[in-house]
Amino acid sequence: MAAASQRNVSMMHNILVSTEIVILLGILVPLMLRAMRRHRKRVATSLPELLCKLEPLSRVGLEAVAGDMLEPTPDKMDLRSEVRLDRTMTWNLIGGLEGLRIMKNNADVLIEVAFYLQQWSTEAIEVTGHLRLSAQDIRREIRELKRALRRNAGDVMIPLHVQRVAGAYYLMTCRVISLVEISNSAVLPQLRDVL
Amino acid sequence: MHFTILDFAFQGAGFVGHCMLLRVLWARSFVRQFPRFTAFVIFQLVRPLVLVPILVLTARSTYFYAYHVFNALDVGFTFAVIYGIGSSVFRPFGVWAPDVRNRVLLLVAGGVIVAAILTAQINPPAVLLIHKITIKGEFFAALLMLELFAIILLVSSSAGLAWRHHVRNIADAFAVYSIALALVEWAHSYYGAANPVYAHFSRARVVIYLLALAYWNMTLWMPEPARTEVTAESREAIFSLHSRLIRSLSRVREKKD
Repeated sequence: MAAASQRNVSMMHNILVSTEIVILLGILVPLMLRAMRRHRKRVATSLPELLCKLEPLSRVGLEAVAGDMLEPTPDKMDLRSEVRLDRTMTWNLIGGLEGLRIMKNNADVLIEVAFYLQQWSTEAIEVTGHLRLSAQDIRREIRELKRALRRNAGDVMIPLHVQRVAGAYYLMTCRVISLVEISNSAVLPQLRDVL
Repeated sequence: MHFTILDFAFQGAGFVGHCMLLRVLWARSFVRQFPRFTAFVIFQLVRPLVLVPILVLTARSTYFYAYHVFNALDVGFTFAVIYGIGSSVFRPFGVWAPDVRNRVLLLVAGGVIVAAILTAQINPPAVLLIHKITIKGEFFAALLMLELFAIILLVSSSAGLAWRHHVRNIADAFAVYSIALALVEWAHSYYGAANPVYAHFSRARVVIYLLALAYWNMTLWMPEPARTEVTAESREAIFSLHSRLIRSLSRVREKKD
């Protein structure tokens, strides 16, 4: 009787451990296979295909909001100043929730662009590193902003996150253009003419 | 486990496969580029040369100890390869990509804890303590190997880190093999070495390893794909995107003024 009971306990224990292992494998294996598929897809994607995935975002609004953070001046920081962007204007200038969605989408695409460029240009590694980090910053700031919006947090944090997202996104787009300039010097004189 | 002709045939196929792979590594000048992987391959060549005579000429207990010593060395070489792959991806110039370092270290620590917890729970059906310890050790190593490959693949994918082509080929085959190894060691811990079910799992693992070996031979022999240059069309597309953005800004500045 005692031996049968012990066998049952042992069998239950084995089933429990096996279940834990199956759960671990059930989580890890599909994720690994997905990462492998994603890598193969990335390697096979061309630059024009990637650029088609970028969605347009108002550069004007972006520069205005990013400028507040990246180039602080007394009149921008003075609460009484007419030049200073208030919270509603900041939110509208980046396009609200739709603008956030576009920035997140474009950040994901620009990570893919950094990956692509790193494949063919060894000198791009440092700049693509910056690019990746900027895209990660944007993703993180958007996550924080969405969390703040869900919590319906006080006004103070939301404009801060919006500015940080806009600043990071603006810097990232500048770096992409710079990266192309570094790697394709033939277009540099034409860009100077335009600027 | 009782060795059959099939097991010896697998050993022979493995030996030939490793000889070919070593030749590929040498011919393609990959020995310096992949020193840890080369050391792993050389070890796999030496292993049967040592173990088969011990099996044939000495007592079973001697073979048991020699087998497990070589298993421990195998684990060491495998983890060295995993370290090399991780270094290539996360610190290609000797410096960590700053956004991944803490994440990787945390995940590795978590993986070690999970593997340790699962290992502590298993109760292999073995009589001798030394058998239980070796089964648990192999189970822990197999789980940790699987977790490390999962961490490398997932973090690099999420962070958008580029891979060297051949490093990826080595890693992909190892990752698939680590899945098979984890399943085999689970079977080992559940059924014990004497059970025929374990023997089937073990042979399946060997087949998967031989397929990985063939994959390495094939992919490492082929040259890396030529780096694709940015085409004139792509350059034009990026240039025109920038021009459109600058023109929009100029128009709005004019309106403000």
